Amino acid sequence: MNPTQDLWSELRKSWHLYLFLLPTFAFILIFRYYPAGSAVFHAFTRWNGAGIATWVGLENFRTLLTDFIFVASLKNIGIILAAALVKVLIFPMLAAEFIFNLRSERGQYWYRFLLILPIVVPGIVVTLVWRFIMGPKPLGVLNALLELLGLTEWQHAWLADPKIALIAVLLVGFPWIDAIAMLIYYAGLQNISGDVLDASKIDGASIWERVMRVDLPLLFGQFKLLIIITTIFTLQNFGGMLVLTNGGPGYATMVPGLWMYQRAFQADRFGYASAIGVVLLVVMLALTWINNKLLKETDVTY
Amino acid sequence: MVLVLLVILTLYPFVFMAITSTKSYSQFLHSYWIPAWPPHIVENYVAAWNQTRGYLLNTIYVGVLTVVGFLFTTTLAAFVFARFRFPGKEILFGSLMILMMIPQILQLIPAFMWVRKLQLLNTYWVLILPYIAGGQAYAVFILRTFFSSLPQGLFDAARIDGARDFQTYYMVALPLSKGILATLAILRVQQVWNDLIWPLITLADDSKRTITVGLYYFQGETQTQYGAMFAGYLIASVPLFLLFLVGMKQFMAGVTSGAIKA
Repeated sequence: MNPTQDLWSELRKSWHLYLFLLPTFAFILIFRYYPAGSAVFHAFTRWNGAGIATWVGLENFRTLLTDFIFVASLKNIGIILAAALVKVLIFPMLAAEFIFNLRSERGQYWYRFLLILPIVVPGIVVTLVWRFIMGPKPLGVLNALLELLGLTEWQHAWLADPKIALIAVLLVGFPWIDAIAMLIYYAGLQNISGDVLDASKIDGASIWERVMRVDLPLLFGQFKLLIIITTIFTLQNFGGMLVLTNGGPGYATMVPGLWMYQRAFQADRFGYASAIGVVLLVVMLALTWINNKLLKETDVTY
Repeated sequence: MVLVLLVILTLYPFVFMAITSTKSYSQFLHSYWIPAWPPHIVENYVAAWNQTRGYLLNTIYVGVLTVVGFLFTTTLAAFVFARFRFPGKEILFGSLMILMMIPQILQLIPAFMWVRKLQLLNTYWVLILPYIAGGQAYAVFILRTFFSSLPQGLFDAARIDGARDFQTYYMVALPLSKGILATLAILRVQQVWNDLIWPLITLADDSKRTITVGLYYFQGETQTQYGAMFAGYLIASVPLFLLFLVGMKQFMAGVTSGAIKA
């Protein structure tokens, strides 16, 4: 039999397998590949959404360089991303350590349960509640609390003051114990072999020493995973900002995703907005690549 | 004890929400921090329920159809990739996996244009179909790893009993993967529940809106009814809370055993 006949008989034998794959591939072709390709194409066009898109080459990207709101949004997202990484690397990890070091199994279960509980609250509710907490006097919770403590000079129109709106946005979610991140750390701690923990105990290491010398190096995989997940999520998620501040006041809290959304659906500049999407794609690919490069092959096992 | 403090700080916003949901406006103004007597539970919750009921039903409808379609397509594909060899397998699998590198935000605008052209705007399908398509790569990857780990002997035994390929899928593979399917379903429902931007731009018709978009507009209509507003927030959290009570064990096990590690 020649190779072509070979292939033919293989194909005939496994035709039903392709049938099983058909639904998945139909879905991703229609709702993933086609729109993604269309976005890249339209980034090089002027397109008001209704009529025909006109090819304009790199014009959109040149305009982006001089678009001061876009440049400001890049600066903002840089700050937000740095803060998000610091938060996810520290706070859920601390919570997981505290729980892991509890003696009683019941206690471990209940603290985990209580700290995971907020996951059932829809994201929009969390955002709206925080918008209320940061709200103006007299009803905003943070301002009311400062009033109660006699710290009236600390009171602010948190989300409405251009000078502190970005800081207020960063405070949202305090104490920043992300439930999924905490579960991932906790699972990582559980995977550390009992022998290693016993050995450190026999060596007379304090809990603090064990955390620094044993736990943190062995959680390297979890840190790496959360860095990648958090980066991708933070860069593209702008729904929270839309609800909290809508990028304002002015453009004090503008982020690229929200600017893309506003250009498209409020200014009908769909080609320009697609160009912002392409920039975000490139930034995300670059950051993922850098993460993988920097954090590669340094996995630790004892 | 630090943990107690962390729990209090984490849960406090929701406790405040729950307490305020029982107050009238004047009670809220006069006893801001503490529960007030008499509570206005029935009044606030009835008002909130009337406003959110439709949104909740829409979301449940969309969520159920999404999860069914999502699990059906991903398990079939993952099953084929895990247990068979056929021409083009590597290329097809690679072209699916590469989607994990393409952020959804890139396609937001063209996807909107596309569903408008397909005349799907203002229908439930404008949510369900893209929700099924989103997250395919990730789920197929997880499920393929799981199906690959099942012992071949089970499939051989079924085949000797005369089962065809499709029968081994639903008689052997699916029943053994309930835990992982539950985890994937919960994650998917949670994403559907929380999505704001896509339903915001594709559903102009208020009667079709999901709970997240509904609540986004909800706060605009009731200026001083803080009690009803917070009651609505709480009602919106109940379905996921129930889902978690049922699936919590599965979910924690799924997350900790690598469903999320990928």
